[in-house]
Amino acid sequence: MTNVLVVAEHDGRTVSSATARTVRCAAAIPNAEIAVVAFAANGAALADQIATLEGVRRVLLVDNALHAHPLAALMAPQLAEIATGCSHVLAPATTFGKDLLPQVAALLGTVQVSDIMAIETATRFRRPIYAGNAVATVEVAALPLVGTVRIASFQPAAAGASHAPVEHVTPTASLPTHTRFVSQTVAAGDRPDLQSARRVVSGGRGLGSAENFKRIDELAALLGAAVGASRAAVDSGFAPNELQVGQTGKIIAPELYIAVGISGAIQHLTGIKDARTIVAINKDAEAPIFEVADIGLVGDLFAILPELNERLAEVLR
Amino acid sequence: MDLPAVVTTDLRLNQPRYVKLPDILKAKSKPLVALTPAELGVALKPMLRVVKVEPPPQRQKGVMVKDAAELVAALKTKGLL
Ligand SMILES: Cc1cc2nc3c(=O)[nH]c(=O)nc-3n(C[C@H](O)[C@H](O)[C@H](O)COP(=O)(O)OP(=O)(O)OC[C@H]3O[C@@H](n4cnc5c(N)ncnc54)[C@H](O)[C@@H]3O)c2cc1C
Repeated sequence: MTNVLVVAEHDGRTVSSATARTVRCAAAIPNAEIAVVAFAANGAALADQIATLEGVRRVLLVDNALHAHPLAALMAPQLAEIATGCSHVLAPATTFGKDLLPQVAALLGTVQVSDIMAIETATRFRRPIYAGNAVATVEVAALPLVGTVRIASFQPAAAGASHAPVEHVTPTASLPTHTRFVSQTVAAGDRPDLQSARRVVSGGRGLGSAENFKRIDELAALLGAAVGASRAAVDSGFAPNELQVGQTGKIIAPELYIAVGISGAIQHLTGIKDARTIVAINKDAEAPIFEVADIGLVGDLFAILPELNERLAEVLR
Repeated sequence: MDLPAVVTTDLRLNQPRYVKLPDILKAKSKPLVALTPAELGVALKPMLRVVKVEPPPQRQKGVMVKDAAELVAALKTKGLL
C-alpha cells in the first residue's frame, strides 16, 4: 500500500479543480491510498466537498482560525508532521503548491519532483523541461517524495456519490511567527478563473493598447470565457500580470483557447499545449501560432472581432 | 516578515541594470573563492536520476478558415458553442 497525501488548494469555501486534478494524478500511483489534507478556518463544509472526490479515502482537516489566509510558512511545518509515514506528498503546480511544497521537501529532507505530467511507477515520473521543449523521465532513489502536479495533464477526479470519512487533526508543530498575513487584494473581475476555465480568450501585442484590449473582454464575456494575455501584452500594460499565459504565466488546458494578435512564441505555446482546441486570429499568415492552431483565421483582428462578436451573439442567443 | 528572509520577486519588478564595461574589467581582479560541499558540511547524494529525455508530442496543424462566419461554423461543428 502506498500512502499518498494530497494538499487541497481552496478559497475557504470551494476546493479548486486543480486539487481534483491532483487527486486524479495521485490515483495513478500503483496501490495508492489517498488522503487529502485541508488547512482551513471553519472548514467542515469544505472537507465534506473534498470527501466526495473519487479516489479519496480520508480527508484530514486542520481547522484553525489562522488558516483563514493560509501562508506556506505556517502550513509547511504542519504538513511535514502530517506527512509522516506517507510515500508521496502532492499538490498542484499552481502558485499555491509551488510556494508550499519546496518548504515541505526541505523540512522532510527529501526530493521534490516538479510539474509531474505522468506517473510511470511509484518512483518514476515524466515532467516537462526546457519550457516544454522536452519531456524528461526521472526516477527518485527513495521515498518519500514531494511532488507538484502539472494540472493541465490530468482530468479532475469526479465528484462522486461516495463520502470519505473526515478526521480532524491538530499538529503539534510550533507555528512560525516570522511571516504574518497583512492583507490581500483580489483583482476585481467577473470573468471565470483563468486556470480552471473551460474557455479562454487571450490577447497579445497585436491589440495595440489597453483600450483595444477591451475587445478581448467583450469576446470573453460572450463566450463565458476567462481572459488571458501574452507576455508582450502584459509587459505593455494592456492586461494585468495574473492574466499572463505561458512559461512564466499560467499553464492552462481549456476546451477552447482563442489567441488574438498573438504570434505563438514557444514560451507562450508552452502554456496552451494541452488545450483541446486552439483558435488563432492573426494578420500574419506565417505566424507560428498557426502551426499549432486547430482553426486559423488570417486577417486584421480589428475587422474580425466585431463581426465575430456579432455572429457569436446570434448563435449563442 | 522578520529578517533575514528569502524572497522571490515578480518578473516585472524592475528593469535590470546592465553591467558596464569598466565593471566587467574590474570583476576580473576580484578574488574568486572555491568552496567544496564538504567544507560547508553538506553531503551531496543524487536523489533524482534522469532516465531519458524525449521531444514532446507535437500538435497537428489544423484547418484555415477565411472569415468570422466560417470560424463560427467550424466551432459549431466541433461542438464548442
Ligand atoms: C524566459 C522567457 C519567458 C517567457 N514567458 C512567456 C510567457 O509566459 N508567456 C508569453 O506569452 N510569452 C513569454 N515570453 C515572451 C515570448 O517570447 C514572446 O515575446 C511573447 O509571447 C510575444 O507576445 P505576442 O505574441 O503578444 O507579441 P508578438 O510576438 O509581437 O506578436 C504580435 C502578433 O500580433 C499580430 N498582429 C498585430 N496586429 C494585428 C492585427 N491588427 N490583427 C491581427 N493580428 C495582428 C502580429 O502579426 C503578431 O504575430 C517569454 C520569453 C522569455 C525569454
